[in-house]
Amino acid sequence: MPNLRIHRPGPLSTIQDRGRFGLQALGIPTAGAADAFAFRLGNRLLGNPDGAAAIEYWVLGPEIEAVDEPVRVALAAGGGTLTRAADGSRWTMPAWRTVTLLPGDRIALGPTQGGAVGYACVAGGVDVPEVMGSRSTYVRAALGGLNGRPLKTGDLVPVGVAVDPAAGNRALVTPPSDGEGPFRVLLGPQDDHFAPEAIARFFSQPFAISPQSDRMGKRLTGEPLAFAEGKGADITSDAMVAGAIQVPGSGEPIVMLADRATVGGYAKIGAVIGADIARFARLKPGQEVRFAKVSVAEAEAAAHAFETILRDAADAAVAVE
Amino acid sequence: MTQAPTIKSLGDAALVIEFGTAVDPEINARVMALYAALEGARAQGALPGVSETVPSFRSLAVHYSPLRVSRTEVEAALAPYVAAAEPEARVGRTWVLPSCYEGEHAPDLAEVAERAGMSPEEVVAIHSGATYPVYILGFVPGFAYLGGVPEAIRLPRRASPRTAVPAGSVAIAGEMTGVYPLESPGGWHLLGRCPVPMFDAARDPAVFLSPGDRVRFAPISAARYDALKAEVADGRFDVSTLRAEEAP
Repeated sequence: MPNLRIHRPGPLSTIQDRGRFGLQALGIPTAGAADAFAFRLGNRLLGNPDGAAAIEYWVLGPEIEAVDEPVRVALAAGGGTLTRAADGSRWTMPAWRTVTLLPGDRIALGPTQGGAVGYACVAGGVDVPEVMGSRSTYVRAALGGLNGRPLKTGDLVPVGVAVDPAAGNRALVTPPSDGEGPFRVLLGPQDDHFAPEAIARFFSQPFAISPQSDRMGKRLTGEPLAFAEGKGADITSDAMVAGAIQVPGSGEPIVMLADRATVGGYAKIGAVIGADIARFARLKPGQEVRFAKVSVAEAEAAAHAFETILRDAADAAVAVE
Repeated sequence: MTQAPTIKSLGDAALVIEFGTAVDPEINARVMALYAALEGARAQGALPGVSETVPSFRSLAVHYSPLRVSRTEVEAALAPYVAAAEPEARVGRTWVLPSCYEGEHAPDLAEVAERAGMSPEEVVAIHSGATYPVYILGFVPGFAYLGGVPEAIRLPRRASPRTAVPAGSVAIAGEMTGVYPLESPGGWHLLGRCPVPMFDAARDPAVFLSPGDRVRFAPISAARYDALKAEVADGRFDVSTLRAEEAP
């Protein structure tokens, strides 16, 4: 079976698939790919199913080497430098293409382009065992992935299938986009904890992404939001979703992402809709964000449009060497 | 007359059916009845597009795929279950968790006893004398919020949370008690330690407590704690032996 050897892991590289669903009632977080657009598109460039496990990395990726057999890798959202084992030649590989690594070939991934997160998807998927229905790594509980932890130097990451090196690679000629502009938000379930002026301000003022951001969530900085008369930040804990916008007592929102806990005890003013979570997840510290209120019908239309954008992006791939 | 629940958005791929805003056994019983009804329906293949339901103290979250069903369709499909769900007296199983309330396993017992104005033995008798409903699991995988701690030993959280509470710690805070599944930060008072892990990904089931179950604690000696810990480590311990006989 083919393997990838990890030479330089990068600050946070983990194995992720779509996530661990169906167990939130037992307190098991979903984890899963933070940027579903890049993750799914990378898999589609390889002809993988959307949910095939991949290596997710933040800011700077690992250097990976094909061991034993050829491995085809899709560089989603970040390129890399390829070193051929045969002649020591080095090649700069742009993002959004597949590359076939022969045994001994290495590619140093990253930095990510345009966002904070990138993926190395592999033909056949990363083949670590499923734990509780998923290969996603949830580091806090040492669950899934490779021994439940981020990748480190010397790790061997098993890959599902060997590929025919003669088969072609594919690339996107222009970087794909899953949208831009304000992040669309559905109000609720605790929007009644906020003064009407605070809700108006939430949708009119900019916020900045704080450096205190990780796979669990991103903190925002900005003019604090005021709570409604007689209401506060604390609620009797209830369920959480990716994109949920919690507002603790400081009045500065936190947007929850893949590694969020299953429940939370702060009032949620609303949630970023599914079509915009991937591009929110890849925001870098210091970037400015704005939010726009949408209706359920608009969110539903956006969910379908997201699938079309993803399909069209994958369909635009062309054959390359 | 109980109030009809309200339905609220939780993003575009989930909604919450909210029965109240407080920790209240009657509100939770309604949540659990609907949870049981919806999971039963899902097991029969009903509720297409609904992927998961997640109960909390006072609401039930219903996760669905907006690509498969519209919000209007989900609400219409849920409506008859919401209208029909009657709180049941008991929906879950009863478990008896061994807890060692001695020595190093009980770092906060003396302080709790002093603040409650009683002896440590009385605190243990009160804590292990009650039966606690599992309201919700969360915080970390397998952490069950067990409600209904007797008034006599209720204390607010510690002023300064510990950065690392050992796995297995049996703890109280306010009206809640629980067992830490993993070493985690925590502000609860540590009364004892349970040798059986609340979460073990290699075990089937990884998490054995479910929302709606009930839990009692049985005091054990430090020697018994060590023996059970060894059984767990060897893979000889069967969590089903912790099930209590159900009262008729």
